[in-house]
Amino acid sequence: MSSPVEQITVVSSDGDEFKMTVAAAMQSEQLKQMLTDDSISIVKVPVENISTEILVKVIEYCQKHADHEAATKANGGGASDSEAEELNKWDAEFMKVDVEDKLFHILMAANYLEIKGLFDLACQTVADLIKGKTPKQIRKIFNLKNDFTPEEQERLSRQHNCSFD
Amino acid sequence: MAQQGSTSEPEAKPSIHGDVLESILSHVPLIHLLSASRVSTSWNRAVSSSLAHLNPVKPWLILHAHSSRSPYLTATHAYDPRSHLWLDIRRPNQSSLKLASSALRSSHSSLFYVLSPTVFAFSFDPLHLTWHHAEAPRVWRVDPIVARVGRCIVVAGGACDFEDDPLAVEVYDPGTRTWTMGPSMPEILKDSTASTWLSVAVDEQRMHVTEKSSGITYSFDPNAEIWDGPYDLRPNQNVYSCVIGTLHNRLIVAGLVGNMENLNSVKLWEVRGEMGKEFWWMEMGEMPKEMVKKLKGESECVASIAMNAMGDFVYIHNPSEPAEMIVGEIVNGTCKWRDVPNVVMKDKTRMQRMVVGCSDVSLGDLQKAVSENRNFAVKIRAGN
Repeated sequence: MSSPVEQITVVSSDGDEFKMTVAAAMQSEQLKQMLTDDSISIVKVPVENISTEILVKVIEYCQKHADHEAATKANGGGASDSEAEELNKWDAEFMKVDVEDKLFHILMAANYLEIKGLFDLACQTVADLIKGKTPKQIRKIFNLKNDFTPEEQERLSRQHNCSFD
Repeated sequence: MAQQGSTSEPEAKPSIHGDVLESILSHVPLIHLLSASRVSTSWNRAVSSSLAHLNPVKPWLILHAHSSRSPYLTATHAYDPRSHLWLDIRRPNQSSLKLASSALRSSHSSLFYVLSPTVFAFSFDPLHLTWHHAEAPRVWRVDPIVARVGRCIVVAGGACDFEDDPLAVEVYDPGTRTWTMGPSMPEILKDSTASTWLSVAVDEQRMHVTEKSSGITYSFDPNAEIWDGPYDLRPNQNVYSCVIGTLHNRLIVAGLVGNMENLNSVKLWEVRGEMGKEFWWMEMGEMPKEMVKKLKGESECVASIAMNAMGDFVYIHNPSEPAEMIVGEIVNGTCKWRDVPNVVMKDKTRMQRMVVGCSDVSLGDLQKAVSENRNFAVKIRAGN
């Protein structure tokens, strides 16, 4: 028993099409702008930077948060502490991805589509990867080279007596 | 949203830089940004930029806990409001010795000191790693007013009646390492022991001393050698106790409204104008009722509160109920309140003495502390 909901179609970079409810799409500032602009009639929205695998995850996030917002509204205003905690738990589980690359792609997708909640969540998760790591370990995670010149490294090492490793 | 350029092939790991990197770094606690700043030149710049624009450094609450029971353990903790985290600070032995003293006190948030008839040592660097030693002041004092104004240390009051001049004020110049006698302090302050009855604040030039229950305030300028006052800093008749502090060199007053057995509200005012000419109060905020309740804790009575103020932050607690810290952040002239459970005091018995201060800890301070002290370490406390 469901009332008819409006939907939009988004197309991944792999060419796969996915339907999104308008409520879920509104979680993205970018999609929201398109939807509220009367001069554009939406048929299909290509998101060229986002693969199918990542797009599925992003849509899942948007739908969950749209549903939560709707339920909160129906209950007449602010979410209860337990409901907020439940959503936080869901978010934490959602961010547990098996491969680090996926996390980075979700971050970039959230940035591109301007989904604030998901962007902040992904930033926090990536920040957690940095905590407690040495510079060398961080470089490995982010595929970075140590580009300090030997002189700079020497100077900073002497000044602060700390390691670049 | 953050600007980033086009991403690379969907299969490869996207490169993280620019505004996205700065957003990520705004979620990294200050102590972990040290490592991040040494990853590469662009990360070094991103750390600086993130701290400058997205999530700046904010003053830490410094909490030193001293057990008055064997084995007399001491420990230093801090609360970093930038990342909402309690931290444990492990210190090198030398500074630990000072902090282990049961005579340790703090004044106007930034000064920690130990004063006894034979010893005077003080520290004002953000992490209290550097201790300055001086001869004890000439007059034997118990619980005097101690304050750092500019470079000098002012000591006033707490003198016994048998002293030649119980109202003697002494000023220490760390440059010459000498004490000089200053003008005698107002008679009315003589019998008030600093830690119980008086609240002290300093700005660039003067020390302000307020009698908590009456709001009567005197100011001392050690360079001009002048005592000014009395001024009544109570914003209205309903304030039964007040404490003072300074934010960006401006005097603020936190007042308890109601009466001791029935605390109605806690308000914060900024003192505008000039004491000595014309001054008035600008209300900055009122503590939410639920937080006032937390401040009361188990006790029916709230005689007074303690306030530590620095930058845009005030930290308020009830010395009889140290389990709750109320944090106020001044944003655009008004105060946003937050209640922070004191995870350090929560599971301790009342046999702990707490000395509380406030410090503007920068990334540079942490860098210097880590590099100069092999035993120095800051860790995020478990159970935050």
